[in-house]
Amino acid sequence: MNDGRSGSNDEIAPEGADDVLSRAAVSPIRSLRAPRRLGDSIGARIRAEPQRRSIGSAVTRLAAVLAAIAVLGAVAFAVSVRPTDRGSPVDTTGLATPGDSADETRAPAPSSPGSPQASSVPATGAVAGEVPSGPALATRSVALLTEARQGAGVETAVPAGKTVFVLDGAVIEQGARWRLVQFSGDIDGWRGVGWHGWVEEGALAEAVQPEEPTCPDDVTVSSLAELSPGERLTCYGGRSLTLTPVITGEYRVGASSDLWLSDDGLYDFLTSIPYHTSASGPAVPIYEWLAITGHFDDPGASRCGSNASDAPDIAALLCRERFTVTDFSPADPPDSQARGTWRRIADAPIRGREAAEAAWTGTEMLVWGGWGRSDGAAYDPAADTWRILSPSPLEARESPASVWTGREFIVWGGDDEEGRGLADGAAYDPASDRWRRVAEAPLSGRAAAAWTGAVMVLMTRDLEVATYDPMRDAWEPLPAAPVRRGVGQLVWTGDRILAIGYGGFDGTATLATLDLQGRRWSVIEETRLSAQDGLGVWTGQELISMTSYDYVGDELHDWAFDPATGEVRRFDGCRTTLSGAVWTGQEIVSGEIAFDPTDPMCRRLPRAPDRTGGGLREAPTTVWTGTEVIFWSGGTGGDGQAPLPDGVAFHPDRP
Amino acid sequence: MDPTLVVRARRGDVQAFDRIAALRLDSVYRITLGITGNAADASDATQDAFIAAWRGLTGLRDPERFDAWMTTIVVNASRLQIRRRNRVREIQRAVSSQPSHQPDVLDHDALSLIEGISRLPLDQRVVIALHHLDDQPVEQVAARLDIPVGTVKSRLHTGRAMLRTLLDERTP
Repeated sequence: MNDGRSGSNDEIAPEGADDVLSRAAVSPIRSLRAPRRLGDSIGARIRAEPQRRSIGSAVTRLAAVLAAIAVLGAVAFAVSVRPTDRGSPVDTTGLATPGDSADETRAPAPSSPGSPQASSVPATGAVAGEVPSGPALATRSVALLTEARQGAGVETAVPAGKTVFVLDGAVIEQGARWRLVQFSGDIDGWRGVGWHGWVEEGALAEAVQPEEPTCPDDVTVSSLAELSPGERLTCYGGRSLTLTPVITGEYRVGASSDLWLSDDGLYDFLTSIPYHTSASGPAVPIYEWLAITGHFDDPGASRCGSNASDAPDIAALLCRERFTVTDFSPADPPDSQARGTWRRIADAPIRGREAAEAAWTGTEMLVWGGWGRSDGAAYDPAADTWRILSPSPLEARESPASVWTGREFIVWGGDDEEGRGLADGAAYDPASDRWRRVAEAPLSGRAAAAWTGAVMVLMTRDLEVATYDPMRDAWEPLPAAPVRRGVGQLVWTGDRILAIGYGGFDGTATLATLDLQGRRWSVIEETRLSAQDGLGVWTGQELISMTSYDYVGDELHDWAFDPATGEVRRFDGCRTTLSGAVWTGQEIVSGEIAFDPTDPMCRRLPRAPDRTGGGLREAPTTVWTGTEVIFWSGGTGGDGQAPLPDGVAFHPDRP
Repeated sequence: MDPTLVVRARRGDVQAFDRIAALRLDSVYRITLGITGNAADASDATQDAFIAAWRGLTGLRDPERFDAWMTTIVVNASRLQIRRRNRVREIQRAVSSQPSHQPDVLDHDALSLIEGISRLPLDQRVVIALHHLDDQPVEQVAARLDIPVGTVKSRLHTGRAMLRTLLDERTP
């Protein structure tokens, strides 16, 4: 959101005259205005929302009720320390029966020590009801007092058609009976904790018809997360449940996040439930796979991380909705987790960076370049030590091509900071710690590269192709590649080059093969293979192309090509970021997932050592050493830090 | 954004929120257009962003942080809309081919640009939309996305390069 304080961008985002995003080019978009009907529509939708308006602006029909509720706000607080005024039960036996659990004849809940409000909210199941949407009641809403303790008397009107859960009561006061209710606050798939408040029973009975929610028999984190908090209380009350395997602590949303319990009290939409450990309960370890036993609707519920401004009864209700852990034991990880171990590696003596080039020599990981960098270092995993490379003759560049020849680390081309293609390169010999410039090339710019065992093959984004022979320091031009122009990939299969030209506007990609001896290209397939960009690896049998999750296009296909059969098969990959992914000879491993194309199953890596971003960074430097994947530096994403020179290594367990 | 307006809206003052929406509507629409790539999705994401903001305003502790907070909501609403669109299109394709809906006030070059941006990886799309279409300085984009300035610059650079390739390819 431009806050009107921003200045000119020109000095911080240099644009060439022909820049596709020059001020002239984007001017029509910058001056574009939203359709006026959009503003009207937003206004209408806001007004159709449950209103957060003051009592003074409430509709006339509800004025009397709201006035009574405003009084009740104070009364309810008083009631909270006089549990005998509250007739609700403690249902510790398990499932509550919809329709009978909010009966004032039940016993009050026990208090938790030091928590005077605790007794105000009985632990029990709930009655669910739906505000009918038929003609007779279409305009009626249920008025809730949601912020009574702050004295503001804020009221929420539950719109017709919403499911209402009666969670507490009845409280008898001022000659009326009051119920604590909640309605589900779904917002585009997000399961909010819903709206809570007190409502006069007569008004509720007039507007609400009882309804029994569907309670899943298979109780898992996933099935529980599908329920609204009110549904969970209604279905399971205080029944003891065991969930296994689950992991606690921060866990990224993804394929296995339905095994996650959130310890921050926050819901992740459809993928986790928040848990709570009472003062007398066990300390739950985080980042370990566990079988966890506990229950919702804890009798001692009072406050578990709720906002200080929440009214005591609402805070207690929010606490009742959390899963209170009573016991745990270690559990085996699920099949969806890859097996292996992590270790920290020594910090590098050079600055952290994104998108550096790297090679594995057999004993060292060589790192050079990266965004705005022209220096490099070598890491020896056996000794866990680094050394700085001798200065290179090359300027800093973006996305150069690189290969390891078995003797030299060749870095060539790329773009300068203005996006101009570079045509020079150099080769680093780790045995002598020396660089040499390579001969001037007949092409320039960003390129894909492959090493055949004798020559480096390059294909630029303009589809120019050439080979470089490091023994003769000589280039040889080849016919242009018949693939889609743009981002490309090359792999060497042992007897031929396979080239992928990733898509354009229509999302197509081309797969072609190059016969180096005959200097001939052949198109294998041009189809909707994948969107825009991807990761191409040669497994020894197939060329695997996987699309990174971020590339959200019309067509998302991961695919594999088998040169022996000429077949292209499509499969569902990981749908996650593949930044820094490498082929280990058995799996594609990124800092987050491991994918075995023969399985095929996408497995999440165990949690990485304590490090910003864990194993997952933006454009890290990655190599496979034969026994472990080393991830070094990369963008740290969400913490505002510059890239750090730290790294981790993942050692996969092999069957 | 005037913090007084935000405080009033947070208390449930619909008129105050109307004013906020009026002040930010065009900006939000341009960002969502840049990220989602078409007018229909941009309209949906814009609506969703304002509804989410209205619903979530009570959780905004510091009114001075409204614009940064709103940027996060707008980006998330756009991402959700893209995911939703992809699911919807799977169904739509089986029924009929859906025409694209683009703002009819933009010329061919601007439409090509929007379409090209929509073909970029999402992270690049977001920084380009905020920096180039909403005129936010790089430092502000970095702060609002909570990423390093260098990351913003590299995403802008890479996105521009990829966009150039895409547009060159489209030119006959």
